[in-house]
Order: sequence, then C-alpha cells, then structure tokens
Amino acid sequence: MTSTATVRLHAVRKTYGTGANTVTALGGVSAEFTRGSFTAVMGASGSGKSTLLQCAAGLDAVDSGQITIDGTDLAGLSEHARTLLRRDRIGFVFQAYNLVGALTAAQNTALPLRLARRAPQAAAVVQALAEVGLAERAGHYPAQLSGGEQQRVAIARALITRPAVLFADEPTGALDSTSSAVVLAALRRLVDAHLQTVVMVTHDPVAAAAADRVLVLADGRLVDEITGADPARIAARLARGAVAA
Amino acid sequence: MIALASLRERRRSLLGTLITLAVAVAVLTICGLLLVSARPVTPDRYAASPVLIRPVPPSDPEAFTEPRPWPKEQAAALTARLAAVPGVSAAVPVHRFYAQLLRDGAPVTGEHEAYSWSSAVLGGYRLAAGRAPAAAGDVALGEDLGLPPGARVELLTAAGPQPFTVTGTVDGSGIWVGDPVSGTVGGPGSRAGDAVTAVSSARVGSGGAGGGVPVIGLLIGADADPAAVAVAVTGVVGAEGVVLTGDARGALEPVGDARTRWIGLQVLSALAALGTFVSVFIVASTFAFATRQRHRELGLLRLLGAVPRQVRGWVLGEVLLLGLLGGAIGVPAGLLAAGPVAGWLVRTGFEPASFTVLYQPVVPVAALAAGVLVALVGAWSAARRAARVGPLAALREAAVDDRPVSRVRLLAGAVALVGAVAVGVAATRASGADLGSYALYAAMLLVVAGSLLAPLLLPRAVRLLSAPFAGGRGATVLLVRQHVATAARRSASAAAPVLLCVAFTVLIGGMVQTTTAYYGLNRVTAVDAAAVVVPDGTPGLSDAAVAAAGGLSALPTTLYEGAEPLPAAGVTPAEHTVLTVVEGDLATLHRSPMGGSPETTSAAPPAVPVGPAGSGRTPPAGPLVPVAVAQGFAASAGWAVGGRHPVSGPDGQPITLEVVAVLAGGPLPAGILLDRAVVRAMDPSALTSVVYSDRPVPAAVLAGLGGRPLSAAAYAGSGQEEDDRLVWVFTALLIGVSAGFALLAVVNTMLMSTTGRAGDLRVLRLSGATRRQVLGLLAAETAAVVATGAALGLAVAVAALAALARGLSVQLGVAVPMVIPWGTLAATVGVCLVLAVAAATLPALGSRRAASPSAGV
Ligand SMILES: Nc1ncnc2c1ncn2[C@@H]1O[C@H](COP(=O)(O)OP(=O)(O)OP(=O)(O)O)[C@@H](O)[C@H]1O
Ligand SMILES: [Mg+2]
Repeated sequence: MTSTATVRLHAVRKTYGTGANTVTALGGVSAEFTRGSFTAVMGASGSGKSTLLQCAAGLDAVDSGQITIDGTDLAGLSEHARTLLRRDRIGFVFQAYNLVGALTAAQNTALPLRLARRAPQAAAVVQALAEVGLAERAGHYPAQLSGGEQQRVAIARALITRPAVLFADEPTGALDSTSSAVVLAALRRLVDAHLQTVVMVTHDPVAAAAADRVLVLADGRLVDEITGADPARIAARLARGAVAA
Repeated sequence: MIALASLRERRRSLLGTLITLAVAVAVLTICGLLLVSARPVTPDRYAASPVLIRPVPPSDPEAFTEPRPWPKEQAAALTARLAAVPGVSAAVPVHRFYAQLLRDGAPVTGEHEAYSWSSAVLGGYRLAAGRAPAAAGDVALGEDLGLPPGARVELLTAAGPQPFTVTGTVDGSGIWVGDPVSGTVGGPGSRAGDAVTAVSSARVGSGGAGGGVPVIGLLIGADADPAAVAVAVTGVVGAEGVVLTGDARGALEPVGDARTRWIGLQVLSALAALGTFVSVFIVASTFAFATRQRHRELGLLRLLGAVPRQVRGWVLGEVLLLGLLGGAIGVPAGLLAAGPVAGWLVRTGFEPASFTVLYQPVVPVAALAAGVLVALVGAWSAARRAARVGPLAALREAAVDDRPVSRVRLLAGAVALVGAVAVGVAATRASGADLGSYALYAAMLLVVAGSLLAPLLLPRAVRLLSAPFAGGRGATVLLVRQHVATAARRSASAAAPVLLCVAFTVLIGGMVQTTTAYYGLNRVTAVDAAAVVVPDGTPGLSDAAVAAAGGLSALPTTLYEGAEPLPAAGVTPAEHTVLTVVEGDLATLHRSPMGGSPETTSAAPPAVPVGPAGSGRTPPAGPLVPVAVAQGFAASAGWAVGGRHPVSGPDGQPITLEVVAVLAGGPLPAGILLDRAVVRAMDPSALTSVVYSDRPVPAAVLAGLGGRPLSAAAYAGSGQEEDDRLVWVFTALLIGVSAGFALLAVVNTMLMSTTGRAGDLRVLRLSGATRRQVLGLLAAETAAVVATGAALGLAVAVAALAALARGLSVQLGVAVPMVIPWGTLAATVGVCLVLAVAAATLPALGSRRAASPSAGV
C-alpha cells in the first residue's frame, strides 16, 4: 500500500515494565502525517505523547504494529540502519534544549552533518540559523543564549539535514509566551515555506493552535482530532475529553 | 572536532588520567631499561681469557651457591689435558681464598678474595712494580690500594689477621699471592711456592689441602681461532665442566653479585607489574566514571545520528591520544631518570656495583606501546559501555542505574574472587620467596573482584554505616544514602581507587610486619644471648673473631650431592646445648673422620660423582664423616640415623656422611651439622655469620677483626640486617608506587564527580539548601564512599594477609600470627579522606567564587 504520508503509524502498541508493573503507554495507535502538515499532539500527563513521538522516531522499539517513515518500515531495520535513518530523515527537538555545551551555536547546528561525515557548508549552517532568526548569534555558546534562543538553535540543528519529518516534544514547554511565539512562528514558517512535516507535542492550546491539526491522546489511545481550531476551542474540547474519560 | 571539543571541556578530569599514564610509562621505561641492563658482567680478572671452563653449576640458578669445585687432582688432570689442545697456549687453574686487606684495623671492602698470582694473566694484569709473590707471606696488591712494594700489611683470612709483605704492585686491582705447588701447567707462576696452601692451612691445624679449583682459564695463541678452540675444548672437558666464551663468561661473576642482581630483578619486575596493574585499573575506573557522567551527552549524539561505532571510536580515540601524550611525557622522563635510579639501586644494594644502564632503543618504544595498550585496555569496557548508550539516554534522567550490576560484571567479579582464593590456597604451599608474590597476586585479584562487585556491596555498606544517623530529621543522611544507592556503579567507580590504595598499602605493610615479626621473634628466642657479634665490613667472621667473641656459633659451608648444593654447618660440642636430639646420639658427632681425614685420601684418584644428584650408585668414597641432620631435612631427603650418603666436600673431594642423629625443628643454621674442625679442614674460606654470647662482649676485643657486638634487643629489632633493610626499601617503593597512583585517582575521580554534578547541586541550592549544607553533603557523601572503599580494601588486605600467615605457618611448622599494620591503615585512610573531601568540595567552592551562573553552588 503506497501512501503520500511521510510518517505512518498502524496499530502501534507499547508497554513498559513487566508483570504487575506493566504500564500500557500506547494501546494501538494509528495515525498518518502527510508532507507539509503541522500536527500537534495533546493529552493529559502520562497519556503517552512522548512515547508516541519516540516510537515514531525509531528511538524506542514498539511491541507490535507498524511504523513507516518516508516509505521505510522501521521494524526491519537494525540499530545501525535506524541510526542512519534518524540521522538523514528525522529531526528531533525536546523541551530541554540539549545543546552540546562545548560547541558554539553554529557548531551545534552542524553537528548532525559532521556525525554523518558530511562537510558542513558554512552557508547552509548560517541559512539554517537564519531561518530561526539567529544568524548573527552563530559564534555564541549555549551558555550565552537565552532559553528561547537555545530552542531555536535546536530547531536549526534538527533541520540542517533537511529531514522528512521534525518531531518536537514540548518545544515551548520551558519558554515564556513571547519566546514561545517566536519558536512557533519559526516552525510555522518551515511548514509553509519548505513543506516541512512537523509533529509537535504540547500542553499549551495556544501552541497547538499554530498547528493545522490536533490529535488528542488519552491513556495511550487517540480519542479526538481537531482541525483548524483556535486556542479557546481546543481548550474547550480538551476539557470535555477529560471529563468524558 | 567533537572529540577535541569534549577533550577541551573535560581537560581537568583528563589531566589525572594523563598524569597516571605518563607516570606509568616512565616507570615502565625505567624498569625496562634497568631490566635489560641487568646482565651478568665478565669479571675483569677473566677479561683476557677468551675461553674459561668451570664445573657444572647447580641446576637451580637461584640457589646462589658456587658450583662444586674440582678437587685439585681432577683439576690438575683436566688442566693438563686442556693445555694439550691445539691453539691453547696456557691453561691456568684458579686458586683463591677469603682475604681482605686490613687498613688501620678496618677491613677494606670491595676485594674479598686473594687469587693465585698465576691467574693474573687471565685478566691481562702485569706487575707495575716489584716482583711477583712467591713464598708464603708474599702478596702483590692492585695499584689502586696505594701500598708500595716492601710495605708490611695484614690480610684478614678465615683464620684471622695474617702478616704479609707486599712484593709488588699490579696494574689493576686485586690481592694476589703465590701459587700452590701443583698449580699451573705452562702458566707464569709454575715455579712458585705453595702460598695458598700454606695460608689456608697455617692456622687451621691439620695440613689442609686447600680449596678445590673453581675455574680454569685458557690463553690461546695469536693465530688460533677462539671459536675452534672452544669447540675442541668442549670435547676435552666433556661432562666434567662447562665451557664459557664471550658474554657467557659473565656466569663467573661473584655469587653475591648474581644474588643482588636477582633481588634487583624481583624489585624491578614487581614495580613494573604493579605499575602496569595499577595504571590499567585506574584508567579503567576513571574512564568508567567519565563515561557514566557523559551518559546524556553521548545519548544526545546518538540521537543526532552518531552510530555506536562512532561513539566507541571517540572514547578509544580519546584514550589513544592520552596514551600517546602520556608516552611523550613519560618516555623522556623515564630515560632521564633511569641513570639516577640505577645509581640509587646500586647504592641501596638492589644491583651489583658492576651495573650500568644500557640505553636499548627497543625499551622506550616498548614502554610507549605498553602505555597506549594500558590506556586502551583500561578504557575498553568503558568504550563498549559508551557505545551501548541509547539515544533515549538524552531524554531521561540517568541518575538511577537501572541494572546496577550486569551479569558479565557479576561473572567477572566471581571469577576474580575464585582466582584469588585459588592463588591464596596455592600460597599456603608456595616456598619462601614466592609466598610474597602469591599474596600480592591474590590481592590484585581481590582488588579486581572487590571493585567489580562494589556496586552490589556499596549501597548495603552505606546503609549499614549510616543507620545510626538515619533517625535524624536532616536531609543530609537521606540524600547521601539515596545518592549512593541510586548511583551505585558511579559511587563504586569513585570508591575503587580508595579500595586499591588501602588494600595495597595495608597488604604490603602487613606482609613485611607479619614475616619480620616472625623472624624477629625467632631470632630473639633462638638463643637467650646477652650479646650477638655480627660481621662489620666483612662477609663473615673469621675464626679469630669467633674465638674473641667466645660464644655459640656455627661455621656454614656447602656440601654437594652431585652438582646440587647441600647447606651444612660446622659446630663444636658447646653448641649441643641448643640442639634437641630426636633420634640417635650426638656423642659421636665429633669423632674424627674414619678412613682418614680428607687430606689423607687426597692422593686417591678423583672419584667424584659427576652425575645428577642422588645417583646412589656411586660407591662410598672418601672418609666417613659423622653428621646430625635436621628433622625437616631428614624427612624431605629420606635420610635416617645410620644412613651413609656419599657427597662431595666444599673442596670437591669425595666424603661419605654417616647420620648419627636427627635434630628437632626450629632455627638450625643448616640442614646438616658436622664437626667444626672438619668443615674448616675442607673449606679454608668458610666464615661464621653470627656469634651468640651469654655475656656482654666489649667492642675492644673485636678490634681489627671485622666484627662488632650488638645487644640481643638491637639484633632482634629490625633494620640492622642487610636483607631487612632491602626488604623495607622494597616495601616502601611498592607502597609508594601503588599509593601514589591510587591517590592521584582518588583526587581525579572526586574532582570529576563534583564537576559533573553541578546541575544536581544547583537544584539543591534552589530547593533551599544553604551553601554550607551543600558542602556538608558533598563532604558526607565523599566520606561515605571513602569509608566503604577503605572497608573493602581492608577486607582484601586481611584476606591476603591471612593466606600469607597460613602459608608461613605451614612452611615453618609454627603458628605465625597475622599482623595488621593499623598505623599504615589509619594513615592511608586519613590521607585518602582528606584528599577526597578536598577534591570534592574545592570545585564547588571555586565555581562559586568565579560567580559562574551555570555551575555555582
Ligand atoms: N521508561 C519508562 N518506564 C516505565 N514506564 C514509563 C517509561 N516511560 C514512560 N512510562 C510510562 O508510560 C506512560 C506514558 O508516558 P509518556 O512519557 O509517554 O507520557 P506523556 O504523555 O509524555 O506525559 P507528559 O505530558 O507528562 O510528558 C506513563 O504512564 C509513564 O509513566
Ligand atoms: Mg512527555
């Protein structure tokens, strides 16, 4: 079955622990993320959002179900091949900025290229930083940047390899509303200008409203899908879901 | 770039590893250079003789006894045959006896033997002035002694001081006397008198036969080919001796030099082994620690696309770089230090005076390679672990070790433990010199086992140690307990150097105290003497000194069963008071040898058994000598009262021993005891090692005799005996090396630990901890880790010491108590604690002062 979807999940199950301690983090989730789409994933704490992202990115093995990225089935891949796929096709941004403290913004941005033993083009690095509005901070170390700026460096780093999909786990979780807005605008521009596929976990209805579509998780299952909504409607739908659950 | 950037970032923590590796390479360079330099050197007195023949040496080179000499008749016959070999211009048998020049009543150290003048040609020596010694009482001295012909001198011989007249000086060194009548064939002194015989017999009573011949040297014609001559000579000598040419002539070095060199070998190889072990261990624990601290960073890199192989490559690349850098520092340092260290070894007595450093280029290369290897081996498991770090590590808190002890680690720890027990058991059966090394190996294995299993033991130990404080309401105890429990492996890496440090210092210190306590005890109880007379500037006491001291003593000598030495000693009826007869009777021990004294049989054809030891086919030969044997010796040799055993005397002449008594165990001077006069008759150079006197001995009676009196307490107390001193220096050296390395690692790990926990500490500060509380917490945590490491180290040392004490007990048949050096323990733990706490708290203080927003406490 061919699909236009960049990322496809089919009946993905994931449990942690064994015996009485078993936690079902994902209980059969199916979803598609098409090229150029911007999806927000929401849900209560512990509902499985991070697990979904980690499984979709091939960071963690699933118990059952199928995940394909750009047409490649993750199940058939060795750890080595999965690493290469992640390096070339997937970008990742987290709540904590996770920059290497010993490297400058530009060096952090170029890191994935170096890991792939590709010579980083200075122009490409500056371009990536420019897309997140940080071209003139290229020489600064993480300790010299604000939280929002560090997060934008992390986004630039995630995009330097021109990945098929960008996964972001609460990218604005640690930021104030102004910095959040800058980061979200940067993401939105990537989707609009470069047809970048973005999947973003968030607790913030305002952030979710920047996306085209909102998926709602509860206890490891998809329970709702909201499209084209504003923050207030999203908040209302979430509240209703929480009551229903 | 990543590796370099991270190196720059972590340069402080890597500095410790770099220093460790540099010191290890330096130690290996020094030890390697000195080990390859430690070769037997051909004595100058034989330098001009290309082909030398000596009797077959004992099969055990570590017996350090002279080979059984040829009896003079056999030597004469052999000399005649050798002289007839084509190309040989002269065959010179060497005669020698103990003699030391007395200058102002003090023995001149250095030269311990007088040689027959005819053998001077073997060293290429010539008269510089005067004439050759010929008659009894003539002596030629080396020019270096500065005594002109005509001077009257005294030589200290085994009998006592003897007057001599200097007839000439020699363009070299040495003490030279006239030849015995039967001496040389074709040599330059054949006309000479019989001074050696005269001297050796002069004060001994019976007309002594003189000693046997230890060496025959050949001079060859200018047109003869030494190699061809050597081949021909080998055919002539057959099984009667060994032909030495070239560097092999070094085998003729004095036995004392060989023994000293052997001790040096032990010291250097122990140092090299310990240095290598300790540095591998430290690199391993440092890198394990560093890898654990970099978990998140490595996870992040994995997340960004680094494959495991790359991660492993970084860690190994980093350590390779450190190894090369360490080598670049350590090799030159080692090369520079080798000379001074060699001088020190000679001065201390670990190497003979002839020792010089040979700068073999292979050594630095090998040391550099060894340094790199040490670094790689040490970091290997850390690199593997780093490569296993998954990308999720970047997303999760890594404080909790999910599997504190992996199965492989458990298995390796168990194997090391079992190995240690096996070595410990083997130690109980090991012989004297090996005992210590077995204990050391057992301790090495226990240290490895201890540090592998530490994550299992550490949380329990900390819980146990902190139990008394657990009731309090403060946060410190809770935090310390939780931290050590959740970061078990990390804390174990931090405790490992402490474990090593305590284990080795306590073990080595305890080892020496356990053994010397035993021997010291032994020496005091041996005889309740008021005074003990020991040699002073001489290898032993002459008969004159023994007579002046007037106490109990034994005259040690060596008998030979085939080529194998049998230590024996001569006693007088006076010594019977300290002997306990188990079987037989000492009454006949001093009966004069039946079948004539050794001298009277000397005309008989040489019937010396040349075959292997214990070939009982040799018919009883020579005079029958009554002996008493120690119980232990009798049991191991299968000798019993009434048994007759053909052996050779120290002069090579055949005698037959008849066992008249078996003596109880305890400190006996040798396994075989015989009449003192018989020993003296056979061995004109035998010297007494110690005299026990039941009354005080004034120093004046020993003036000019090369002896000095000591109180019994001073004698039993450690330190005055040469061997004791060497052992102590050796111990200090080993403790110094292992403790030095380990303390470096302690400081390094603690620095790394605090630096790596800046984030944690900030959180603590933010949650309301005062700066003092945070520092207190760090200190308490460090103290807990040091205490547990020390406890484990002590356990290791005690286990190894127990094995050692057990081994000594089994060997000596007496219960040997284990001595734990509490002082050393306290000092070691104290130093570890102070350094560790300082290293743990200083970075926290420092970063505060630097007002760094990211790392301050
Ligand atoms: N490594 C793990 N071991 C055991 N259980 C886990 C692990 N990781 C997550 N879980 C459990 O799986 C469930 C889903 O976790 P997940 O991290 O995906 O939640 P989330 O939706 O991202 O929550 P939050 O919004 O708080 O980040 C939770 O119940 C969590 O406790
Ligand atoms: Mg989450």
